[in-house]
Amino acid sequence: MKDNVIIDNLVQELKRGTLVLAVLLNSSKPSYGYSMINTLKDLGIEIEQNTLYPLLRRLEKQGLLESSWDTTDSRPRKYYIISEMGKGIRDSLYNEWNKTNKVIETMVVKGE
Amino acid sequence: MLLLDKYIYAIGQKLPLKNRKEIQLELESLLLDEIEATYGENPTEEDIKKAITSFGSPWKVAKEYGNNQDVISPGFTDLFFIISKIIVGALSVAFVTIFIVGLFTKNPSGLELFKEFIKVPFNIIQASISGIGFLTIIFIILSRVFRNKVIDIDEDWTIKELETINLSPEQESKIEAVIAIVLIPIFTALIVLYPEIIQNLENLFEKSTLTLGNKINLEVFKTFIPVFVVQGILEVSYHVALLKKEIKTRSFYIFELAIAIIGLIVTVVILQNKDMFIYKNGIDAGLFTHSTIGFKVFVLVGLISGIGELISKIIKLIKLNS
Repeated sequence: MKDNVIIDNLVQELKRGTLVLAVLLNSSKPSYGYSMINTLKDLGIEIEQNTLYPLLRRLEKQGLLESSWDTTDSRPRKYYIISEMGKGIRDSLYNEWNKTNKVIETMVVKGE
Repeated sequence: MLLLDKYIYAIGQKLPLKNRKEIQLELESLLLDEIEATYGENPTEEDIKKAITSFGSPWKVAKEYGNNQDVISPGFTDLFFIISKIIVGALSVAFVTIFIVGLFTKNPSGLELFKEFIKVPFNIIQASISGIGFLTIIFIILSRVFRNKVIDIDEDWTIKELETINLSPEQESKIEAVIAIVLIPIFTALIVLYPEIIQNLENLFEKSTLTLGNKINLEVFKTFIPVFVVQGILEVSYHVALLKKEIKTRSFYIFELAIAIIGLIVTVVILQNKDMFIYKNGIDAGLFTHSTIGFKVFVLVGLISGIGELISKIIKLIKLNS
C-alpha cells in the first residue's frame, strides 16, 4: 500500500516534468483547452483540466504560446498555438529529453 | 445555466483582479465544452452539477491560476527564519537581563520574585509574536514586490573557502556557540546597566565574615566598560557567524585569535592599572598574598587561562597552515 503511494507520487512527478514538452509538441496547430486534453488523452497522457488550463495560460504569459479568441461560433473559444520562441524552446527541451532518455537507456542496459 | 454562472462567479471572487474577466470567460467556455462533450447539447441541472463537481471547488480552481501566491516567497524563507530566530533570541536575552537587573535594583522577594520570574517567558512570547508579526508583514511586502527574487544567504561564498576548512572528526559545538550568544550579551548588559553589581558581590562575600584583600575601584572600572562592550560584540559576532557557517575556516581561526589577543591585552592593562583596585590598608602586598583575594584574583585567573587559550589557538593556526 505504502509502496503504491510512493510509486504514484514518483510517477506523477516524472509526468509533471514532461508535461510542458508534451503540450508544446502538440501546439503546432491551433487548439483550445478541451481539445488539447482529448488529444493528449488519446496519446496516452492523462491530464486534469485544472492542471492543463492554468498551464496553457502560464506558457502564454512566458511567450511560448500565443492565443486568440474565436468568436465565430455561438460559444467563444480561446485557441492556443506555439510561438516562434516556443518552437525554439520546444526543440531544446526535446533534445534534452532525448539525451536524458539515452542516458537512462544506457543505465538500464548496464544494470541488466 | 444559472448554476454554472454562479460557479464561475465564485471562482472569480478568488482570482486576482488582473485578468479575472478573461480567465472567467475562458473557464466558462472550457466548462461548456466539457458539459457538451459529456452530456450532450441539452444537459440537465444534475449533469451540470456533476460536471462542476468533477472540475473541483472554486478555491481549488482559482488556486491553480493564482501564480503560486505564497505568503512569503520561497526565495525569502531562509532569511525570514534566520531573522525570526534572532528576534526571539535577542528578546530572550533582553528580558532575562531586565529580570536580573531587577533582582539587584528592586530586591524582590517571595511572591513578588515569583511574579517577576513568571513574567519573563510571557514577556518573551508576547514580544516575539509582535516582532515576528511585524517581520512577516515586511516579508509579505518584499515577496509581493520582488516576486522572483531569491536571497542567497551564502551569496558571497567562494570556492576558496573550501581550501581553508580544517577537516577534523569533531564538529564545532553549537551548544557552546548558543550559550555564548545568550550569556555574553546578558553579562555585558549587566555590566553596562548595573556596574555596581561587582560591589554588591563583594559586600555579599564579606557578609560571610571573610575579608577581601582588594576591592574594585568602580570609577576606574567604569572607564573600561566600552572596552568590555566591544569585546562582547566581537565574541557574539564570532559565535553567530560560526553558528551560521557551521564549519571553522581559517578566517574563523584568525578572528578567534584576534579576540583572544584583545582579551589578553585588556586583562594585562587592568592588572597593571594601580588605581583599579583598592587594597586593604592601602597596600598591595604582591600577587600571591592576601592582597590578591578579591576581584583581582578573577582577573589573574582570566590572564592565566587567556595565555593558555592563546597558545592553543596559535598551535591550531600553525597546524592549519602547515
